[in-house]
Amino acid sequence: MAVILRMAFRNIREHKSKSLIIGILLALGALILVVGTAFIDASQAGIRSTFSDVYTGDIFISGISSEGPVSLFGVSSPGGLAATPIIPNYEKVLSIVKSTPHIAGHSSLATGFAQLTREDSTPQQANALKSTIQSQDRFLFLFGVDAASYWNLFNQVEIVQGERLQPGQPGLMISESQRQKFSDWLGKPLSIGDTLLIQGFSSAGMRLRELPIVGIFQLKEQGASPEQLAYIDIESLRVMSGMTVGANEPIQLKPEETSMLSTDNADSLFGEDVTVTQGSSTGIDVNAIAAQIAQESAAKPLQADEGAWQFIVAKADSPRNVQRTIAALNASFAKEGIPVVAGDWQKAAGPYGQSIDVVRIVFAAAIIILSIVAIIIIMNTFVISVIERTSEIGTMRAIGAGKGFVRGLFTAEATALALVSSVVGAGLGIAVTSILRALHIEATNQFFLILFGGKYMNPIVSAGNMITAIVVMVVVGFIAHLYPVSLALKIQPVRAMQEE
Amino acid sequence: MNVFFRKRNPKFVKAASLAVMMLAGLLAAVPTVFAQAKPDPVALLKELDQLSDFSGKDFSAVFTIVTQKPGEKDSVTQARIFRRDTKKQFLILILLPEVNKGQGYLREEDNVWFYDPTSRKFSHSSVKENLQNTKAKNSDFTLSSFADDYAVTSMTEGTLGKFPVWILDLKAKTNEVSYERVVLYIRKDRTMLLKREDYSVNGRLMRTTAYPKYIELDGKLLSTQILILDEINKGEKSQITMAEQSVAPLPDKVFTKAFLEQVSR
Repeated sequence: MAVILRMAFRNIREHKSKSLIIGILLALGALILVVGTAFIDASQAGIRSTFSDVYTGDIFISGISSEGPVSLFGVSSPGGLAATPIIPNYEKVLSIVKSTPHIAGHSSLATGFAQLTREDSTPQQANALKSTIQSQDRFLFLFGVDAASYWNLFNQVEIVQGERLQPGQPGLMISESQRQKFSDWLGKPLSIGDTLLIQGFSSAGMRLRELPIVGIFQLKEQGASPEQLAYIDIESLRVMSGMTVGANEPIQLKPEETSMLSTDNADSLFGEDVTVTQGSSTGIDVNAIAAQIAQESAAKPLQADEGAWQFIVAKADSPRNVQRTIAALNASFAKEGIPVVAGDWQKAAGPYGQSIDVVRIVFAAAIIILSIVAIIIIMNTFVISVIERTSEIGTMRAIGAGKGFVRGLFTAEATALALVSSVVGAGLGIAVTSILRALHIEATNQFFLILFGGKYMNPIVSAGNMITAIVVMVVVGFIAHLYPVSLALKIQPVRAMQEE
Repeated sequence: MNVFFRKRNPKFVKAASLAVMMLAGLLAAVPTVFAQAKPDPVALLKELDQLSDFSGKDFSAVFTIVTQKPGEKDSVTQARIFRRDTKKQFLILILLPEVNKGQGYLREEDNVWFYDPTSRKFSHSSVKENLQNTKAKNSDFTLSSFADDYAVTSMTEGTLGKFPVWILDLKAKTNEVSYERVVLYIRKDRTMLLKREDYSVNGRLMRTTAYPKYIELDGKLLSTQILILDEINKGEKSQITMAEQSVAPLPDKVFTKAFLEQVSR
């Protein structure tokens, strides 16, 4: 063994240029692996904490919809019109959450969509219309929060002006960037106490509410939160999202109003004569109509459904316990027969979380492809280097060296070279990531925000990733030499000795 | 991020298209003209266009729209609509569902106000502004004209149920219209639209609409029951029923914000 090793190191020295080329390639491979995995890890950890600290929590509990997956953004259904389910048997679900171990804190909420609007268009506002404010800039993604527990759970919400919503207080909290855009659109500077007219959309229809601005906030981590995020008191949200007591009342219709709905074939409606009735146009009393509607609607005031929540978000005492806690919760829900489901932050983030996966998968695929290309190049270089040494192999075998000895010699050479090079490469990788960190490169768009896992590029090399990179490159070096050596050993020693 | 809102926006479109469906219902009204042996197809289209022309007259009716989707509860909207086309005015008052009763839409020229009686607030928008980020098209908000928007590619004879009909195959002249190709089934013995088929650009049947019931009012024919079948999502269909129709003059105050406020008082 010692002989083989000594010969191996001597050979590496003897074939300096070839060793250098292969060494550089192996080192490059290790460097790519170290830097690449540092990015993937940073992205994963950064995104997870950005989401879970800012708005998703670690654990997300929602009702189940037949239309599609449920997230904080509602139901991802093809038409986008499906109503977000309300948590059934809420009190029971809450008691299960409270009694499940490893849950550090929880809060309930409901979400909805709205648009900033105004009563009328003044000439001043008409000018503002021509400004850069698009109608999508006026959209609000509303979080109707339980003010008693929400702010303790999500402490990344920093108040720039005003205060946080208090329990029972009606109002809105908008972000600093929203304040600027809205001021621009309304043609007047907005501050605390000013009211905003917002129009809520839901499957139950539209609803207008005028609410005061209670606070202006800024998120400490701006990485992955929706720009349109705004906080609202839960009562107002319930009314705007159609979570009202009378929303599901059955409607009595006249038979002729549904008579044709049993038909699937339009042509079958023309089997008999087309009826043409004679009508007479009498004047209509609009005051009587108005009075009638006014009287009936006054009888049924719109009342928010107390205790209706769409989601419960919770944080685990440690990231390690998240999956275990989710499993425990789902087991309890199944046991009680309540149709609710617990998931992780990615389920809560919904389509947002998925786009992150896509970016990460693409990035990981790029690294894998790069590694495969590196392996092929290394293997090719090995082939050339071994073939060139065919006569040397022939001579060794002619003077009595067995196939095993020759193979062992080359294995030692390849492994030693790979080990040294990959250690150097991994070391360079650490240096590169340190430099990248020190440069404090800022993410300029959503793609880089996801890639960086936060606002700044912050790749961190873990010991595990470094060892993995070294092991992978040693294995690559080992595998790469097998084929050319077996090729060289197939040649008869006499012929091999004659090779130039 | 905006992808969510683009996706969500149909909710807004839904409300807007409610108004559209109600207006569309009026398209079926046909003047009483006895069919000729072989009428000029363009003249026939112009006759159809006149149906929606309520120039010089006010119109009011109660529309009930019941929409059925497989596996879902029927969705019901009932509204009273007031129209004055000469001034591009309309007012829609929601009657059902109960929670939205008293909500209204008022249009005057390019301005549209939505009124919510529970907060007693109006929300203003302009028609142009609304169209910027929705799937709605201009044609959804203007009265369409078959003769202006479509060219007749063929006119054949056929039967629909027990009725002999002219079948007009139309191709869009502009890209302002919602459907590239429209096939109309027009009753021969008395000019009235019985069925309409809408096709997409690639020739796929998107929607079938049937008009089997009419009322004759002040010399005009109005469709009182309309069935719309979604041919893409089979089983999804809507019935529009019109009642209490009138062409009597309406007081001017109907087309004001004050009237909407009065209704919810």
